[in-house]
Amino acid sequence: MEWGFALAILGGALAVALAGIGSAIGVGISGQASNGVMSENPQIFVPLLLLTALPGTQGVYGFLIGVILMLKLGLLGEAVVKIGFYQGMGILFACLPIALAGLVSGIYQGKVCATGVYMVAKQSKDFVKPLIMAVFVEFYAVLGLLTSLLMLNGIKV
Amino acid sequence: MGIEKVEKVYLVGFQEVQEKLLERLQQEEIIHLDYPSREDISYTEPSINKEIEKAINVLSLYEEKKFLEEIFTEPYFLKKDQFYAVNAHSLKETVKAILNLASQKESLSSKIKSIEEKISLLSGYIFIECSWQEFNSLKYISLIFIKIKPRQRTYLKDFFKEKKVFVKQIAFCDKEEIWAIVGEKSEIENILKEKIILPLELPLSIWEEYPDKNVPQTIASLKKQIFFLKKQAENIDKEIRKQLSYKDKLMIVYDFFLNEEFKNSIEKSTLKTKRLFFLKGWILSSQREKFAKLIEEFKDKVYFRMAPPLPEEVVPTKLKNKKFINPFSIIVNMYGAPHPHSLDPTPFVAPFFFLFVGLCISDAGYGVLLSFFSLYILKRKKLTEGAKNFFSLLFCLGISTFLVGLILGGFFGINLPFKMIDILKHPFPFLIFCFLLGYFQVLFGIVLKIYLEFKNKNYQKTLLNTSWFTLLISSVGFFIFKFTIFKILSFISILGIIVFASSAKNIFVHTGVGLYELYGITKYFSDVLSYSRLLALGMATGVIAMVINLLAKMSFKANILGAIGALGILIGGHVFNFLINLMSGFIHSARLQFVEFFSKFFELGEEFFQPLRIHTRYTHITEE
Repeated sequence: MEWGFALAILGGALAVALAGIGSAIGVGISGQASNGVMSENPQIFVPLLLLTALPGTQGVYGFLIGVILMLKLGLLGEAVVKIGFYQGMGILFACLPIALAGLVSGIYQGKVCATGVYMVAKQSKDFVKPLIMAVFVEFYAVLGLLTSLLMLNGIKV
Repeated sequence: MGIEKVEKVYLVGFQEVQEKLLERLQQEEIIHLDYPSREDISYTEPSINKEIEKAINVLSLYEEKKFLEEIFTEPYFLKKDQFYAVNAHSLKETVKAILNLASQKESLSSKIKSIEEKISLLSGYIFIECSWQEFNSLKYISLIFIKIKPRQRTYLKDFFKEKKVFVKQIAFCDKEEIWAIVGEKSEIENILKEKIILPLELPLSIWEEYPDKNVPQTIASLKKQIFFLKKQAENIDKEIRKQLSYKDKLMIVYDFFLNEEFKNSIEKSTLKTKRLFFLKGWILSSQREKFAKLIEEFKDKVYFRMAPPLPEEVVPTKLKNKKFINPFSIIVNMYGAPHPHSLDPTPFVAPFFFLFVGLCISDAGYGVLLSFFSLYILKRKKLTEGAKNFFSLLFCLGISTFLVGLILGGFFGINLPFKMIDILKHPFPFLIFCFLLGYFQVLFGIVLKIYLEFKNKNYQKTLLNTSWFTLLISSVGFFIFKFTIFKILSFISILGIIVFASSAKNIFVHTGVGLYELYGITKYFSDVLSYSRLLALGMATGVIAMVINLLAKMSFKANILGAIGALGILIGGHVFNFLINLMSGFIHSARLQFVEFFSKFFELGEEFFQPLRIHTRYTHITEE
């Protein structure tokens, strides 16, 4: 295997893994809060489900970049493309926005969602407001995704 | 369309009719009461309701529900006359009986649990085949048990060879051996003093309870006890199930008492003289006649007077929209009540929200799924007014998703042959399109602001916002077309912004405030950039759907088991993708309305018009 190809793979792996870690921690935080609240009030399952699921999107964005990269490299088809060293380096860098933004925003979104869970525990009808607050954090993962997408799109292989 | 006119009303009457009046007002849902303070109507739950609630909770444990019913519990609907018809006091006995059964059940369960704990403790000692009496009657010799690992065996055998004791391996326990050691008391004591071996601690306290039985026999008799206790518990379960038919009535009674307490708390909070009470509130102008008619029922006992609101009072807001766009008022409701002097943003939000959610989900198949699902819920399930609105909204969003999906050419991740725009291959033009949408919505927000300021005769602010509007138009125009006229217009607009930003007399202060206002241009930039999320979310749906199909295809090709797995991947994957994108599509689009659009013109009022109605928790009171 060429160096460039390996670097490109490293990029995809980082995108999926780091963003996934962010989401896993985020969902972990909000999920724990939800379970605690549900032990007192099981009827508010649906709002809590939404708040718990929201930090999960970063992992999906990372995965999305991973798959786009796999398609680009031909890993899912028959013919694997050839990639030079600097090209591979570029692909690796292009994956970093979603990897890092996903990692950090996933964790912090989890925290915002957890406090949202506590809010819903007291005012179960107002669950959209904490969701909106959480989306402020998510926007930076969305920007990361967009940047990674556009960069990958720009690198011709 | 718009905000309904609301009028202030004062009521004075004799105290003896107050309760009846409140009841009638609740039934007609006509007046928004203006309490002296909100805290005054906070009330404690009536004590009888705590018991009823417990009984309801017990019964709902016995209800058989499917998984979906757990999540979408249908509300319990009730006509007004049914609400007052239930004889609350006749159910006291039922509540008592249910709670009694439940406490019996609870004590049985705890008994069973403690016996099970005993069994699990004893089960580690089933090798003891002598009874407690026999064990305890040993006077001159001692019997101890030890647990050893296989590798300790030879060492211990040597160790015991020198002692005057009888040693026998009597059982195995998780790869460990149990040895029984018998010897004279003094000899055993000496061995224990050497601290080479540690005797097993026996469950003496439990064993003692059954002195004539060995351990396996004790376990058997305990199991028998559990069997009988479980039978008793089953009988109680049956008894409780017989009471299930009372659950509905109990819910009504609970709500009846709750409402009584609520009414009492209002009564307490009203201003009173010795014989009179005094209420104030708001009614819709359109319901004035109906209100007058209602008061007529209390002839010579209650009087009312309409009056204009005081200058510092903010009138509650009542939105009124055509049925077609009414579902979109949910978005406005989430944000808060618009000021009665401003405008109802629902009709302006509706088209943007409709389009944005479509762009975020952007798959024709998911659109069909969403519309059919909401239609099914709307037709098949009994829903409250709010839920009806919500599912109607989802239905509309499904249509929008379907239309956008057709244009972008995705159907459950499969590329349609007539794809008009391929956002995966050419994302850049689509990104520009998203920015344009944002640009347009931001401009639209400014136009609404200009209208509002003009309507409220705030001419300086009108001119300021007009300057902003022309600046945004002309600068973008110049950037694209490079016409000099746009350049000139931009400079005039900038000048306008500096001039109209403040009304300060001091020229330096005035310019300073103007320049600071001009700095606000960055806000417009970030507002428009925020719309890039539409592209990112739209792409995410399409690509994940594609990946799901790809995985299913790979699995399908593998073997027969894989073909079955492929079906699971397809269904599970698409449902997951659909739900997660519906959620983020909805929330992100709502955020674009709240932060980017509403911030331009929305003026918050006090609260929504909430007429006094029957206060319930479990049931929903409907009209006829």
